[in-house]
Amino acid sequence: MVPALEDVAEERAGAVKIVKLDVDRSPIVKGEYKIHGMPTLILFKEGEPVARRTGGLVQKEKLEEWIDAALVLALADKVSSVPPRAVGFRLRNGLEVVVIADRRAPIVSHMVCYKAGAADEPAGGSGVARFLQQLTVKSMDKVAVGEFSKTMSRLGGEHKACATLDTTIYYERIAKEQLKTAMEMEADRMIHLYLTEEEVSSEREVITELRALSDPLARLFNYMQVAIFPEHPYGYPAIPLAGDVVNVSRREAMRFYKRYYAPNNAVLVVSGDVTPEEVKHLAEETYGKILANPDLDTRSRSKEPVPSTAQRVTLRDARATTSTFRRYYAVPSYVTAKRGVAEALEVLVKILAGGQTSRLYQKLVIADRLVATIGGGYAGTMLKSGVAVFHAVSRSGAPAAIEAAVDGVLEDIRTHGVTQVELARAKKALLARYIFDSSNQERLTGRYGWAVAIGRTVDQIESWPAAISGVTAEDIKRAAAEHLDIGRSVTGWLLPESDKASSAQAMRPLSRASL
Amino acid sequence: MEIQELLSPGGIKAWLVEERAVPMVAIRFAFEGGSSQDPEGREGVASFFAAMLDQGAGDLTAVAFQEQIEELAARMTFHATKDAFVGSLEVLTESRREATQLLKIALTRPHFDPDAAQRVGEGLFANLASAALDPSSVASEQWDAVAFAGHPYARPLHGTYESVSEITSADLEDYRRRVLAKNSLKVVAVGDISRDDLGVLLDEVFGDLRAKANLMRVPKAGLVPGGKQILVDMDVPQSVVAFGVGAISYDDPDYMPACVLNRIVAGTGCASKLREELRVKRGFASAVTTDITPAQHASVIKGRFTTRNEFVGKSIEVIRRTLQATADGEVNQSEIDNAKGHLIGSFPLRFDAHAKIASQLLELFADGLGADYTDGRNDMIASVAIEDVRRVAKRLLDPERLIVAIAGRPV
Repeated sequence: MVPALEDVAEERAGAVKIVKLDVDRSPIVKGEYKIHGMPTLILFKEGEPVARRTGGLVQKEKLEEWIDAALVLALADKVSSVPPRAVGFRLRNGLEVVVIADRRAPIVSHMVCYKAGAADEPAGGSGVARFLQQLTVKSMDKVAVGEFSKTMSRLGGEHKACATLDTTIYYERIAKEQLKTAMEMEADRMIHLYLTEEEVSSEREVITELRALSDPLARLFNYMQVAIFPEHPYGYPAIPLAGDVVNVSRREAMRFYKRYYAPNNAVLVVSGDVTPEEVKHLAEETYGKILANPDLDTRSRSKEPVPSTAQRVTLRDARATTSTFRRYYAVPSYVTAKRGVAEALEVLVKILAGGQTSRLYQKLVIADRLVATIGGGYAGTMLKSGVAVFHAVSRSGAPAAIEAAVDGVLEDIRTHGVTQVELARAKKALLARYIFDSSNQERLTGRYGWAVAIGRTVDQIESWPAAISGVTAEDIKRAAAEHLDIGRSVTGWLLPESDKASSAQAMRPLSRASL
Repeated sequence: MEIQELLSPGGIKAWLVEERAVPMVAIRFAFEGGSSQDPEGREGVASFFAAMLDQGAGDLTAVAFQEQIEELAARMTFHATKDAFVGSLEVLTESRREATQLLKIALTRPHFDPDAAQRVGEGLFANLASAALDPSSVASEQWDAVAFAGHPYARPLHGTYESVSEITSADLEDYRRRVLAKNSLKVVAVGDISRDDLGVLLDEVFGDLRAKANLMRVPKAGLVPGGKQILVDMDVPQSVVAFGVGAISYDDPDYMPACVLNRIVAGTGCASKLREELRVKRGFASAVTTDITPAQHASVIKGRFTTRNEFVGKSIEVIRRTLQATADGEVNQSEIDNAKGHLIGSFPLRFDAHAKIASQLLELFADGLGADYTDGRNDMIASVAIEDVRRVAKRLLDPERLIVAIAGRPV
């Protein structure tokens, strides 16, 4: 055996078994596996050959890279074939429908996604998207005020709604026999909203009061979002800043509603114990009766959101007990990215900030003990920009030291890239999350709804595992260098009012040395 | 959903739901004896122990242990409740064998390394600090302290600064030896695994634990008699009010009527008496919920709402009046029908994800219910009649026995 093989056999004993076979003495094997050159390496997983190559691989690193890549690819293949798979079609009025048959429990999830959010509001951002979402929960023409919730409650269903920058969703989960009721009520919400001045003003008060209570972190995130997307609709805060929402009038709410709540501006996702045929039939009977809005414009996202200098937001608040760090980078989204870049960012952020083995955790929590927790994520399902987020809670570190350590970790990846072990681990974690989410109906439904609403296809969604497994170390290094650019970032700090109580260190440490 | 009951060759009790569509398995298990086994003055041991189990075990340092977990892409978590120490593992079929080895060493050979303990301890302190600022947590904890005075249930699940500071590695190891044993263990598995494979897995993971737990006896907890109201002063614009009375447990024939009653009074959602009175009629609170919690040693019906400081007194008065009216028989058939409809219709919603199924079933299993409970449960709800609900309302909803904890600054 060549030394590289021996090393790998030894180091990975228990995980990989390496067997050498002289094909000249085993002609049957030679024929069965069509071996024409030597040496040929075949990697088997659960008895099935998952990769092969002929020649080369005398370097240990190359060999390991090949093994890891092949194993991840084998997993991705398996993940992609995991049921349930979706079926998509479109009604005559333009409503896009996605059905995911999933017979594991006698229930269904029903989600309507409107391609409208805070970024579609009139210039300046009035908060009308979210305001409207809250109002529609209350009032509909056929369904009297409050009846929607009462009906769902009597039937034992769950329902929720939310409005983000690009999308507004309404979601119900209910016994399968009640799917028709849910569709009737949701179709009613699409066309028959009726608002009185009185309801609008009482809901305005509720929202104004909620905003007064909003915690300082929510305020920080809001300011950061405005800072990172200046002069772009994404700079319209999802939770309006002071002074905005109280100005939303009934007329403005109705104007937004009539423009965007239409079948040709919506996606319907139904998952659970149903067939596509059943859903099609029910959808035609309910949503199918609603006329398309002929005046629907293409969505305007005026400028590419590219701030050119690093932004900074600092808040002090008496309620803050520790210093909280947050950084956003404006990066490509699944919609705006060149092929493979969004997936590379997904893996990159996972390596940087996902879990206790991540680069940032190892450096700032374990080695330098600057922060108590650190994490991050990549938000890639927006139309015009994605965001990479990193966040930490200080332990003893001063803000400047924490920022310097974070920047150091990022710089190291830009310069030196990531290891094969990190790459394989991160990919596997992402693929595993895909499988875990597949077992959860709400997440499964959301996977399709959010993505189709920004223009992704069912095929793109279902080939995501393969795209992730195709990410290379080189892709990641490039993504880090090109996109984690401080000039396209905003750094936020929430600090206590006085510096004394500023970190967990101020608290009593464990008293016993024996621990 | 078919639940198989099984006993592993080594004698470990488990329920299994075989579900082969997705190549993963979710395993959830509970050892009897949660924070109620914390020694006096060392409150928080069970929670601390739970937080330490993924911080190194066997030959693996904390970092190596985490690396292995992440390489396997497994999810392993532990937590304590008042009654049990609970663990959970979600793993892909292809990594099952390696992940169960990790779980085994976590349970049998955990390290309580000083560095890791310091780090974990700081995390626990930070949680305590933020809970102390959260009026919901404060009200809920104070309610327990008052209602169960003198019983282990009165003690805080995660301890206090003082008690957590006193905890040593010896306390953690002592807890492990007393609580983690085969006779007090119940396991639920959901997913891509056969009955036989699960039997082997159970013996592999849990087989080396002691045969018998050595638990401190926990008596039945009676609520303090005669009602009580306490106030914890906090500088917040809205107060949180926790309120409740004693309830009944699964083994009481009136348990199902009590569930229907709970839903009529408030439950989790809208269309309830208290919501109507507090939100719709008066605008005092945006939401009010109640819940029956049948813990092992006591059952309570406990509720919560948030209201502006000036409405606290009036809101509590409304609650008392509403409970009294309900106890006096003010319940109508449409309320009964709506509540039953909700309880029946929402039941299957609890069972739609592997991890959720495992967690729901483990609760039933740990409470001593049979695997056939899920089959009969909706019929039992359906057969509840209005007289049953009136009877149980009269029995439980006595405003004189109401215990109230307020966190905030009522005026």
